[in-house]
Amino acid sequence: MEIYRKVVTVRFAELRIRDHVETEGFGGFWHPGIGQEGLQVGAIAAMRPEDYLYYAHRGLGYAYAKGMDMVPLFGDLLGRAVGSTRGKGGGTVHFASAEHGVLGQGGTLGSNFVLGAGTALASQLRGDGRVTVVFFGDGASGRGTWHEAALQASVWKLPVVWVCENNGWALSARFEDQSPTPHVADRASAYGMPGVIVDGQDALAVRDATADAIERARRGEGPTLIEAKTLRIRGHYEGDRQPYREDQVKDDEIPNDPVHRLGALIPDEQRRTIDGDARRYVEEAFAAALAAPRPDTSVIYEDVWA
Amino acid sequence: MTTMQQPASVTGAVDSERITGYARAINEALAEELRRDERVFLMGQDIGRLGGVFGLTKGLLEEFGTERVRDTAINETFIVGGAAGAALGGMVPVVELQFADFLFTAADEIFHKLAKWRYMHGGQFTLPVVVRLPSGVVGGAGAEHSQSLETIAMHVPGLKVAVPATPADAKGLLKSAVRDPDPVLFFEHKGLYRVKGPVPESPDFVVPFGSARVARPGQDLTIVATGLMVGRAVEAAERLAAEGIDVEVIDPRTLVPLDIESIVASVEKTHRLMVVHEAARTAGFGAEIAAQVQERAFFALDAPVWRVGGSDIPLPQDPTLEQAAIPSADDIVTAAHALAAV
Amino acid sequence: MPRLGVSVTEGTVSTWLKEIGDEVAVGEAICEVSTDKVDTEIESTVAGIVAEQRYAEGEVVAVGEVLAVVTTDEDAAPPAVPTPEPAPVSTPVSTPAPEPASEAAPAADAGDAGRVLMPRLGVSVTEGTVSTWLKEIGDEVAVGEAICEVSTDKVDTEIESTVAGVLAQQLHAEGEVVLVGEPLALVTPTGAVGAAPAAAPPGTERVTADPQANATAPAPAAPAAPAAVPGEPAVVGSGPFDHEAAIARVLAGATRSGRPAASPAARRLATELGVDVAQVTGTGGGGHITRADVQRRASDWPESPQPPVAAPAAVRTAPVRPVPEPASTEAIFPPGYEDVPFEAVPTSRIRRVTAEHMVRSRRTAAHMTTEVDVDLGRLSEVRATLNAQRQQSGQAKLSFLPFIARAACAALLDHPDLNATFETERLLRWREVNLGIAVDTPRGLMVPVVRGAERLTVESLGRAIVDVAARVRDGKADPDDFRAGTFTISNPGSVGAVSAPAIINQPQVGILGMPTIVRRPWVVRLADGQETIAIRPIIRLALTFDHRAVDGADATRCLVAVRERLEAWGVDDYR
Repeated sequence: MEIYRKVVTVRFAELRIRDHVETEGFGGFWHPGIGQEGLQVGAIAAMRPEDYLYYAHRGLGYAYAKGMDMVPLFGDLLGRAVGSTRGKGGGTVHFASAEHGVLGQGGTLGSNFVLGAGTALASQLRGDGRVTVVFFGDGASGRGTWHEAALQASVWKLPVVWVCENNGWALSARFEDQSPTPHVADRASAYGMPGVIVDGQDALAVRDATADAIERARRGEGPTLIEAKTLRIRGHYEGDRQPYREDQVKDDEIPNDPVHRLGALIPDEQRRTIDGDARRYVEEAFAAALAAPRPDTSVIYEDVWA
Repeated sequence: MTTMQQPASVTGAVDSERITGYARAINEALAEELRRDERVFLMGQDIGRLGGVFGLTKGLLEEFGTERVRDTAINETFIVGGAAGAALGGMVPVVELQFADFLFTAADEIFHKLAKWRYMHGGQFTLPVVVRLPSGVVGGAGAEHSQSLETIAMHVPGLKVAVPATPADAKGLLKSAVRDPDPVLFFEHKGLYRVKGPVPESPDFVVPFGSARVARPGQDLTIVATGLMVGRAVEAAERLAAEGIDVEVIDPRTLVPLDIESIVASVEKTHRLMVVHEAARTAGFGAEIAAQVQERAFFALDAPVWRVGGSDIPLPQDPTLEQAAIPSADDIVTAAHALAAV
Repeated sequence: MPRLGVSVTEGTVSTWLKEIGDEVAVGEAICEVSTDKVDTEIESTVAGIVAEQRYAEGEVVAVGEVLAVVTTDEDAAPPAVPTPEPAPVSTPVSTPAPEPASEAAPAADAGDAGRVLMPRLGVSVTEGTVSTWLKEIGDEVAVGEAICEVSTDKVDTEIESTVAGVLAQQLHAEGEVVLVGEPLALVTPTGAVGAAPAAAPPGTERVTADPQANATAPAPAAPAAPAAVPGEPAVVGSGPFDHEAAIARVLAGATRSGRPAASPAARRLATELGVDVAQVTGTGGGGHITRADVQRRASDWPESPQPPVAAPAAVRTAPVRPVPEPASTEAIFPPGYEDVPFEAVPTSRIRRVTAEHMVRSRRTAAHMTTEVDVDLGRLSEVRATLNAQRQQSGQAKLSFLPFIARAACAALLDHPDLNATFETERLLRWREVNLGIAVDTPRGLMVPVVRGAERLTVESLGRAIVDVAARVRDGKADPDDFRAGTFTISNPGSVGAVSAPAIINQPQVGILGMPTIVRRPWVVRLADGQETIAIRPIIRLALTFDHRAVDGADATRCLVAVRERLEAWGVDDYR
């Protein structure tokens, strides 16, 4: 039920943002995560609050699922002082919360691999029992950083879980055109770690697979690669008309919609209450962020140096 | 070149009778910092069992174990990116790229992750990472293993840049670097590893960032030099002194932050400035210093600010050709003679 | 053919880019020349039509030779008449235009036109000795050709002519010392003295269409061709960096802007000293004006009458931060003092004049002080005797000042370099001692002058001092009372100072400071030759002098002479 609440909240947030981008415009690129909320929330549901998260760039479901409030996330999106980066990371890419173990995101895709492995190394050295979960897309799996990080993490049995959201598209590139194997998970064996394929539209299945991997990591047995098969519903960014794509998904039709699949498990009345609360929460959070002041331009000179 | 001067320092001369090598001073700084702070650990290629290709980490594995002195695969993006991640997880990583040139193979991690992570995320994190970068010509290492890339690091805000020229500075600056909350690129000069000089034994000895050292006081011409070029500038200064040109040699020691005040003060006295660097002449840090000095002290100048730099060529491998590509004491003397005509 | 590097003496014409009859603009390439250092294009220093190519492709050209003749009129090749003034084909580049003689510029400056000046030979070299003349009067010289050898404490070197023509005068004999910036030789077109080419500054030569003129006037030492031609796309290149060539290029371009070339530091100094850089002859590389040149100009007395135009003090004390021009003087505070209570006291004219004078003197003269202790025991007895006599005849007592002043006059007659005015190129020894006496008045420090003090007895000198000081204090002095001082005495001992170095009263060379007389334990020699300690009245006289004009030993000898007179004073001396 908690997973459903979070998934549906993220869905409303996705729709609210799309509405804003379409009507008001937006000073950056919004990389929508609609349709992928289930796996994001599901995987993170398996994490402890103190575990570390490196998210991917598609949506803000990860951060909300990890415990961040929607106000700073919307604030980042809208360039408000209440945003977690006060306009300096902004957009949808670089929100962060040290308090919630949300360690941020690199603007160069695939740069999180090495950072995630490094944070897991810190946990191993400190013996703090934390696990680092790194999300990435099928596209980023082509980076050399993947190889360098996956190799070293496995050699040192670092407590890290790699979660690949395979939505079949790296911007305009089809996964099958860019991978010699049918699955990203096929590559796991090269690094001596388990490779697990899971239905990304099934939040509970993702949660369970991630929970197993996290436990394994916590036991000191090293990393696991989870590949969650999902779909990219919208373009790479909101406004991307996807001329390269023949199989465009119509906006309102999310095949195997994770929201519906989870909702079906909950009695209608209860679900309607959750939906209403979630919608209200999102509207209020968005309004609060929208009403917040813009940061003073003097912030641009802050935070360069410690 | 061997006339390493007893530093007549603007921040206090090195008060030590003990003579130690530059490489040994770095090793000592690492050991002391590993002892001082359990968050400190080392990572890099061949730094553990071998003790580093230049022997800088010899003996550290034995004292601190494989957990804290870690041999990695050949994976510079992990060495630097992993250090960034470990810093986010609460550690103080001191990593080594086998050659400073390899900062290009880890460029995304250095110039994006280390330099910008804190900023991009609204100041929520600090990244106390030291990247040790064996730099400069060492006699036959070739175009991809001999460069002086410190200026490139200066151009990307968010990175501090140290360029020690003496054993004492190597130790004192490295210790400051480890204790600094910001990422530091530590350009240690391979050609100086075997140079010896006085190094204080106290584990409390540090050299603060942003304070230049007067390597040789003088009245007629200010020469700013770093790394290997400091010794050559001092040697040139001794020869010029015999001709009545009294040269002041200033070693900034860190380029970020840059102690421009000391340089300007010297120029106000000598009215002439030459910057000497091993890196290619074009767009080296000499250009930056020249610009800053004329912005701040234009009316103190008797002559154009002059640069003596490496040739604008990739570094050739043969050691003789290599030396021809970087400034020698002769080159500095020649340039000073030419400048004296103004 | 320009100089293309410090050590380049010739080049080979590789390609002519302009043919006879082609139009050329200033700065346009006319041919390509290769040397052992560089291959470069030679730019025309003259606009017009190419009338003559003096060298064929492949021929070697010495630096300073004429490469091509350019005229403004195609028909004028070869022209029948010399081009009249103003020369339509004059070279617009290089070195500041000389001051036309018609303007009241000092003759020395106007005469610089045909002169070869002693160049700077090193950072700290200020003079050199002519060892050998390589060119004799009547010899033809080209730009860059050695005319003499000079040795300094640092180097022995040949001095190259900066002017083409015929050597008209050797201004220094072999063995003579020449200061940097001083003229060494005069080169004129014909070798005639007094025919210095007023319109042809050093390093510049007008190329006229007259072939006769061309024969005796080689082409100018034009700026070395820049590495790239403006307007052409830049190309990458990776040759060795030639510091000498680069410096030569800087120096060759020193005057390219058409305004006096001065180093930034020299410009600042000129502003501070109120010197117009256009009036200064540059002796730095490429003829640029150095700080020393400005300093020399400022101390040229009496040739620098112009007072600082704007108050230079304001320039010096302006805050570092750029601030708008203050509406009143109250608007400026030293940074950091904004919250300190204060009282603004307007300065008097005397204060401002004094301030300006003191700073100018400090900046002009090389101040140095020498001191001696004088035992005034004997003089005290003499003075007591004398004053007793004077009292009987109703005269006022004499202070020590007239005795010391009189002794100083006598010493100055034997050391005339201290009773003088120093100009860089000469020392004016004044033939009378016009003694300035620094007087502390309610309105400020004033220095009236006692004319011909060396002709007065000690008693009349005492009276003259008392009289003139009284006139000054009462405001009854006239301008004549203040002019023509040749030496000054300052008496801070009258208010208790125990040492008395002073600032020289320009344009003098020395000032004698009298501190207070102190009774001190002193080693004295008794009549039997034994030594003992006695209490003696001692004064520590301080002679501050301009080290540019005299050396410390000479100044001290003069001061010792004062002491000897004072210590041996007989009651009838100077009466």
